[in-house]
Order: sequence, then structure tokens, then C-alpha cells
Amino acid sequence: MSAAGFYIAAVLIVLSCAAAVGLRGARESAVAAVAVAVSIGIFLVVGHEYLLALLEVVILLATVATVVEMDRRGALGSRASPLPLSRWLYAAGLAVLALVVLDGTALAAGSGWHPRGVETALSSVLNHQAPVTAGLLVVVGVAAVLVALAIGRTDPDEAEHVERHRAHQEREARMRRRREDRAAARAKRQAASPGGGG
Amino acid sequence: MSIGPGQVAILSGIVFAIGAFGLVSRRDAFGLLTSLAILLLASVIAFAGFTAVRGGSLGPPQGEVVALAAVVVCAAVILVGAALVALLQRRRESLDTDEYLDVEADPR
Repeated sequence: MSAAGFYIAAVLIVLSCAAAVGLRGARESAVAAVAVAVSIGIFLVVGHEYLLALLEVVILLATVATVVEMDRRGALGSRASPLPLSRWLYAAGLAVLALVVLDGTALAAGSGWHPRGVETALSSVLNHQAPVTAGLLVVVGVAAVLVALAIGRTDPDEAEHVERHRAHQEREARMRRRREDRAAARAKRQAASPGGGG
Repeated sequence: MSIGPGQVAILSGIVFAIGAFGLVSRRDAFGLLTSLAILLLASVIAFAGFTAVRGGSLGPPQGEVVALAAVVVCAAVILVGAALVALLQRRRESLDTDEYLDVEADPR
């Protein structure tokens, strides 16, 4: 792995990850998530792992596209309210702790903690050494899609229930508005009458 | 100048820290899922990076396979998570995770 390529990919990865976490708009977050997938793909290409890079980019972009489409249809709800400062500080503290533990360990250990291995192509490994693993990964992927479809589906009775609940809420809101209007009108009449106000 | 496993581990640690920050600091579903994906992708960077510098503790072939497994698991987690979020959105009409902590809230 070339040093220049590694550092360029590393900067891209860190910037895109920071953008994905920091940006609040749906479109900006989606673009940043795509940038994360692509920058990690660039990192893998720099490391001469072309098949892994291709699979990573295709799988992650398909996943991001699915989530973005769900978000566009409103299935993922609206944006949440801003966080209080204490929560930001808590998050920053946790991130610094993770950074110190992980990177501190890596820096303290130096580079003598790893044994050398032999270079083998991923396709060869999946085909000859780990066919069961490859099969299991396919099964996991298909199962995830099926489970997501099963969880996310809307039954007709559920849709009817949701519609009934929405109608009930609207009716309650109308009645509340009417009550408030009547109370306001009564108060106005009492204030307008000569002996009113008491 | 060559790249060793140490640099890869540091990069992986930085990405993990960013993901951990996002997991705590975001309350919307899209942000939480993205942060979770970044956490998992930190492991992809580590395994694939160790393989690329030919020094993984598991040996390069296993490292690549584990990195691929992490990508697939990441995608699976995001898909199932998004489906659960869609279900919660329909049932609770709110995705603010802090509201789920309110035990007195009406669960319908």
C-alpha cells in the first residue's frame, strides 16, 4: 500500500465520516453516507483489494439508496429536535475515550504485534478456502432483505388501524378547538357585558 | 515511507470514534443508522487494511473474508434497522429516541 494513497484515502474517509455524522439535513447526510462508502472503496483500491472494493461499494450504495428512498417516502419520520449541550459533551467524551483506548493501544504496541501472512486473492479464498463462509454471507444478505421486508410491510388491517387512529386524533383536535373557541367567546361576552368580568 | 498496521489501526480508531460520537449525538433515525454503519465500517478498514499491509493477526486471506463479512453484516444491520425504524414511525409517530425512555408515554 502506497503511503500517499493511504493518507489521501484516510483524509477522505475521516472527512466523509465526520460529514455523515455532523450534517443534519436528509440530503446532506445521504450524500455524506455515499461519500463514506466511496472513500472506503478508494481505500480498498489503494490496498489492491479490488474485488472487496467492488463488493463494498455495490452493497453499501444499494443499502444507502434503500434507506434514502425510505426517508424520501417519509417512512423514517422527520428530523429530531436539537440536542442539549450536555448530550454533545457526553458524546464528545465517549468519542475521545474510544480514540484514546483504540489509538493509544495501537501507538503503544508499535508495529511488532502482527505476524506476517501470505497474499491471496479474495476470489480465490472465497472459492477454495472459505466457500461455506461465502455461502453464509449470501444467506445472511438474503435473510436480511427478507426480514426487513417482513418487518417493514404494512398489513391491510394495520393500515386501517392507523387510518382510524388518525381520524380519531383529528376529531379530538377539532373538539378541542371548538371547546377553546367557546371558552374564548364566553370570556369575550362576559368582558363586553356591563356587569361582566366576574 | 511504508504504511504499517499501526497507521491502519489509528485510522480505524478515528473512524470508530466518529461513529461512537454520532451514535450518542444523533437522535434521528437516519443519523443513528449512518453512525452505526460507520462503527461497523471501522472494522472493515481494520481488517482490510491489515490485509493490505500484509500483516493481519488473522493472516491476510482471513482478514479479507472477515472484512467482506463485516460489509454484509453492516448492510444487513442497516436494512433491518431501517425496517424497524419504519415500524416504530408508524406505531409511535416519533423517532426521537429520547421519547422512548418516557415510560409513561401512551404506547397506543
